[in-house]
Amino acid sequence: MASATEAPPVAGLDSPAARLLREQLGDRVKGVDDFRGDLAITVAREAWVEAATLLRNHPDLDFKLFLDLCGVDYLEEREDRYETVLHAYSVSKKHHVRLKTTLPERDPRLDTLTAVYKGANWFEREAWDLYGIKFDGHPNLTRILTHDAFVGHPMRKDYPVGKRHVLKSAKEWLLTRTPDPEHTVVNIGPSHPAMHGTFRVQAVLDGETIADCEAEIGYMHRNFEKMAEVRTYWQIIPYTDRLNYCSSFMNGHGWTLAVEKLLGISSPPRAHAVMVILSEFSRIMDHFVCIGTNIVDLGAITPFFYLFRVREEIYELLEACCGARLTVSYVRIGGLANDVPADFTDRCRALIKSVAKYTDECDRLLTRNAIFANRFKDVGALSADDALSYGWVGPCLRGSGVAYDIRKDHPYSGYEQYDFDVPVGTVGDCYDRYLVRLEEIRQSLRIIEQALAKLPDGPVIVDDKRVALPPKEEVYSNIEALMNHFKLVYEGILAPPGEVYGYTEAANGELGYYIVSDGKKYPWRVKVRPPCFNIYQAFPQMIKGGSLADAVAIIGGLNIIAGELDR
Amino acid sequence: MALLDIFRGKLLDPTLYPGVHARGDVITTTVDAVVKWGRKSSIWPMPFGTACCAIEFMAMTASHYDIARFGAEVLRFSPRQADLMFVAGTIVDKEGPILRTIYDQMPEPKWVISMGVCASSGGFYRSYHVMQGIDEIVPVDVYVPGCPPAPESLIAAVMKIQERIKNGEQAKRPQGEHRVGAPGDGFIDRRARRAAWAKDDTDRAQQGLPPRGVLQLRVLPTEPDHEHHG
Amino acid sequence: MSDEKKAGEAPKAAPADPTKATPPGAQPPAKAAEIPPAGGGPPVQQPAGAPGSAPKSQGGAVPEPPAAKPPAAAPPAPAPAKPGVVTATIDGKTVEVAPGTTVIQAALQMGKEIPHFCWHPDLPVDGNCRMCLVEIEKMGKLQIACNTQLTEGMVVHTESEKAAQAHRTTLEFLLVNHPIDCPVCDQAGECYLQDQYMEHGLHDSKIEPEEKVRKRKVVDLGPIMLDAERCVLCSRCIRFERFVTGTDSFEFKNRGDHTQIATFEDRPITHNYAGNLADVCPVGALLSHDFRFKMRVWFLESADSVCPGCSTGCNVFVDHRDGEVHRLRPRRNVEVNKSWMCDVGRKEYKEIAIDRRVGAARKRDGGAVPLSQALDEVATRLAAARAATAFVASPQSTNEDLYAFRALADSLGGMIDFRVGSPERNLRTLEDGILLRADRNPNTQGCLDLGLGRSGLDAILAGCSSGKVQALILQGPELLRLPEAAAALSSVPFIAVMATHEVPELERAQVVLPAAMWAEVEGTFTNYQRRVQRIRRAVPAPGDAAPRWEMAAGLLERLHAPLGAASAREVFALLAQSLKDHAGLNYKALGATGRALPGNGASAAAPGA
Repeated sequence: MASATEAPPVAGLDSPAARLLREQLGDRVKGVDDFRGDLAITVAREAWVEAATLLRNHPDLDFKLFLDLCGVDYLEEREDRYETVLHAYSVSKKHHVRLKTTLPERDPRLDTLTAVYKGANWFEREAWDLYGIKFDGHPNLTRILTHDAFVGHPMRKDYPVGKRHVLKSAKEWLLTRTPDPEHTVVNIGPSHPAMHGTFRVQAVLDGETIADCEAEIGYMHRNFEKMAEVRTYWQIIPYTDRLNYCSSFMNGHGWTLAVEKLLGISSPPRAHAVMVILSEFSRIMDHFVCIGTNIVDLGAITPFFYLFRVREEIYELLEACCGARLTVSYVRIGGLANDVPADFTDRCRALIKSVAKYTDECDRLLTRNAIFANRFKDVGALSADDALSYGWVGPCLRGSGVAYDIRKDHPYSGYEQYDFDVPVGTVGDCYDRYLVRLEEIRQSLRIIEQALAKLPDGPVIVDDKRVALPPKEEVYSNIEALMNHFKLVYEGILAPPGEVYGYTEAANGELGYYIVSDGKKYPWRVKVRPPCFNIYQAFPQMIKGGSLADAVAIIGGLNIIAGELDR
Repeated sequence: MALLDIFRGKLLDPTLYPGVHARGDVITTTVDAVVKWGRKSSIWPMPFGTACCAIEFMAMTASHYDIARFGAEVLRFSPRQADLMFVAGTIVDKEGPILRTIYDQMPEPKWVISMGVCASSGGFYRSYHVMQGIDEIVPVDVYVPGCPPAPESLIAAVMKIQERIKNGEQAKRPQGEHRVGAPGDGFIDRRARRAAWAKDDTDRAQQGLPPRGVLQLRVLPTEPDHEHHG
Repeated sequence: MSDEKKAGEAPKAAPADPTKATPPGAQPPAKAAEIPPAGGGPPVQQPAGAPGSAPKSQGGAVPEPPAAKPPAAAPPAPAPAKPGVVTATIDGKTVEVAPGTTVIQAALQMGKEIPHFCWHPDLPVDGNCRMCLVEIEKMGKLQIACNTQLTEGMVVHTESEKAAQAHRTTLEFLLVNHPIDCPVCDQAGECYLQDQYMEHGLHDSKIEPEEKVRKRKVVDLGPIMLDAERCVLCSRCIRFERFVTGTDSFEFKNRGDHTQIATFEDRPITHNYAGNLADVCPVGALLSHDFRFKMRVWFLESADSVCPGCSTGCNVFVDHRDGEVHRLRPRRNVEVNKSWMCDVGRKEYKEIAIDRRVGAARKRDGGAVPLSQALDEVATRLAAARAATAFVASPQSTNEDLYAFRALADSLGGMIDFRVGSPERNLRTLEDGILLRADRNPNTQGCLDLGLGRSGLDAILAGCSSGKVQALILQGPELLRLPEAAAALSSVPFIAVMATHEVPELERAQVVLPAAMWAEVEGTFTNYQRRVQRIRRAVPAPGDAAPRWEMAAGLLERLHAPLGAASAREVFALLAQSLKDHAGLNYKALGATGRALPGNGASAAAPGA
């Protein structure tokens, strides 16, 4: 089974997807590539929808899970300036595919994929917003991340990095349909206790029921991807921390694995084991925040205090390892910045006991609580088909009954050695998502225990001078190490030209990094595949017909983190 | 009569009231001191939390760091009921008008803490959608550096706000309003700064001083035949 | 060579079955191939015959190695695949080069850089650093690529294990006494040692800092700083001084481990080409005093441009960061300046600084005004004066500026000239024998090409004195400085000048228009060879300053005779259409090194040729 970081056994050029597309499209398939094991098929733009439909519907391919759609600007490097890239996954066949098409500078139009994948809607709006790629047939091709007074398409290579446009007043109307004059229009957020500061929903209320609604995002659009084009691979690590900041170590873990895939190297085993342990603790932290803040939104404050108390203990572990609590920047390309403290194993074992205790407390407080059950059961259910079409992943997808966990299906960092279960829900309502998260915490504790028992000795960073900094004693005492240090810092790691998609199971699901490298010190393009973006896209649909109170219950349980949603 | 001034709405804005520095009498200064003590011991924060800093803010309100010790645990998400706004997290250009609206909806007296480097100066997001500091649009009383600042730093900031309340100080105008829309990165006009430095250098040279920040180097005489071997 | 012929003939005599023919004392051919060519022989020239063919045997007890006859397994000397061109293989790729090309040059042609220190494309070969060692098939020892000519059918491996090991050990030896100076050395970011360490070294050090030989540091040689410890003894500076400037300033002194580079009695460098010493030095031994500690190189962006210092038009890189130019570096152009530029040109970057620049348009009576308002005023005056106008172009302007200016003059029927101080007389005169020309304007030839010398400066001045000229437009303040013109200028009712710097002469003009400088505009210059070369914008112009052609286009717009071009590229396209010699030229055709127009002037042998 292909892992997220190793080449699959089957040569990509002969894979079923390539074969079937060639059969169907003939010479409209412009190229097939499998750099580092990623199958990438370029088709002519006239065949875009046809190719995507074939990929999704053909029984041998079954790429039902929509992952990502983005634009890339090659400026003058290639004949056609823009590229649109689609990533999809098949849960049944367990393989990924990348479908690309090129668009000329003068006429960057493409047919919309909203009929094929529901999730393509917001992604195409983003490609329009940031690149100016027009999608014919899109129901609402308007800006999604940048504000309405923004001029230009900022991710284009000729757009200056720091050129801002000031917004004088917020957009008043979000709704696309005129509401019934009998109904009330209510604006929820972005400054709202339940909206976590950065989401906005305009709802048309018929009494307590939401008759229609429209969501607006982009209130945390911090331009990670534009920053990534002017930073070296190391310098991007702190930016990744701030994607899903509740479990920031996991973002770095995913980033370093993706870059290692591009470079064709691997961290040493000890680094992988420590990364697994800290990632699982971060997952636990994230689930605690999710449950805690969800409950606070509903009015119950006690679990919030309990869960944040145990988060402090996990913070102490992270602080002992690397000095920071929340945004850790502990990973480096090729491993970790430094080794864990001497009492790491003891700390972790004590922490496991503590977390288990607090999890049980939380369980006792909530799971069989009548009010909690009433507010969460049969609220916000999304069917498995819809979830896959939107691109749901992680606990939300598993709550809807689809058993997809990258740690099991494409293990990385040694997850295949650990014995753990993946909880899967049945109905897909808020209660299921809560139970999945609670059980995942317990399974994470299992993984951590096994990883601690098997923790290997050795270095924590790869022994490659082109990637890892030399030790400081060397840097100060001989010229070779000094030059090495200088070159790595001001030039950084030089990745070979090519593109990869590296993915890991973050707290919210599949966090992917699509990295395009041109061989120079800055990556050419970095696209973050944000699980929250796909998940939140379904939110307006989920709350229609429900009550306003249900909307509050639902949004907390989806664990939408703005840093990841808007990047 | 000074006591009745309370009902005429005069004593409630500390910046208007002379306090101990002007010619207030014993009764008014005592009342003023009591009002200020009450105000600083029961700050009602309004958390305008957007990003990672909000998580550390939540940690500060939780049991370990416990802002309730300072009487400030009553978080009010409605600005009309709050007097201290914590801007915790990056404010992007899209959020700017909303931040200003919320600030305007707060009743006087009000203070603002800019928590974290993103709110203070844009942080390391020198880019096309991020406001390079909330002081472009709202006045800030205390800036807290850190990414994110540890809850201890934030508590220190709250204590600084308490000092400001005691002294009757309040920021009124956005300190960075001349910089609204300033570009994040790419072209920072250092020429004006360098021209100012050059002028400073020439002024100091006229006074016979060396330029600022320059260490006088002792250049050792080079004797061609005096290389020592290691 | 007779050997060659014999070598070529012998295989014919060799029997097809090598096991049968056993010349006396011969070893089987299989082993013969292993015997390296016996000693001697200059490694430089390779006979065009079979590679690895040995010279005549050295004699001695060893039986005559059949290397005198090439081994039977070797094919006959192949006829060249293409006549007049040498075809060979480097790293598996076929290259075709002119005869006489060395391996290192051939590799560069195909885009592969073999590591080197002492080799320089514009200096004679020395072959002392031994860094460019490559493995050539059928030659037992590694050969230096800089001094080995590529021969027909040669197969070169630049990154084989042996070659890689040679690179690593050579680098290790060069670093044995190298000081731990990177934090205080300006060369970091463009240092051959740093770059080659990452690509070809990556070895661990075996030397303690106390063991390193210490030499002199921070020796002030005037425009150059010398740090003898950092020197890798490549002798590029020695060869530059000997063969390019002829001044022979540098020499090695002491010997062995203590060899250093030095000038006689540490006398400073006084010639006009000192800046090139910092460029040729591959490490931080020779550094520019002017640039010292000012800016780290990796922060700088480079724009391709042309030096405006004189009519030679040396190609340069304008290194800038955040709107400030920090230095100029020569850009290699074999036709114009090779890899060199003079110090007069290097100092030109200081003129771009903001403090003395004209940033806003102004009227003599009224102070600063928006540019559009100033242009309105000028246009009104021009419209009123019509043919009673005179235009004095500046050879400091780009061709685009000149074209638009001429269009302005033509639309009104006014007089036009450019010869203030007669720059065209010194256009080709070489002042210092190497690069610097007496005409200190970059575009006199462009003025000549566009026919701007048609009215005569005297006629213009006479017109001014007599009152025939009611409005005088100047592209630069040169005329205002001319003492002979003072009287004439005072008689003109209206003078408008496009100026870049605040100079006292601007007082004489009624309207001052802020002009952008060469590093702030896109455009072209034509050098003394009639070579049209592009200049690129590096930094933004201060305040309202605009390119001269844009201001002229603004005036034409107001005079209802629009130029018909919205960018410098389009102006050049119009220019190319209007001039016979420029036909077919556009920015893309000019490329990075420009294009010479037919009928260049005197031959342009660049120094060091």
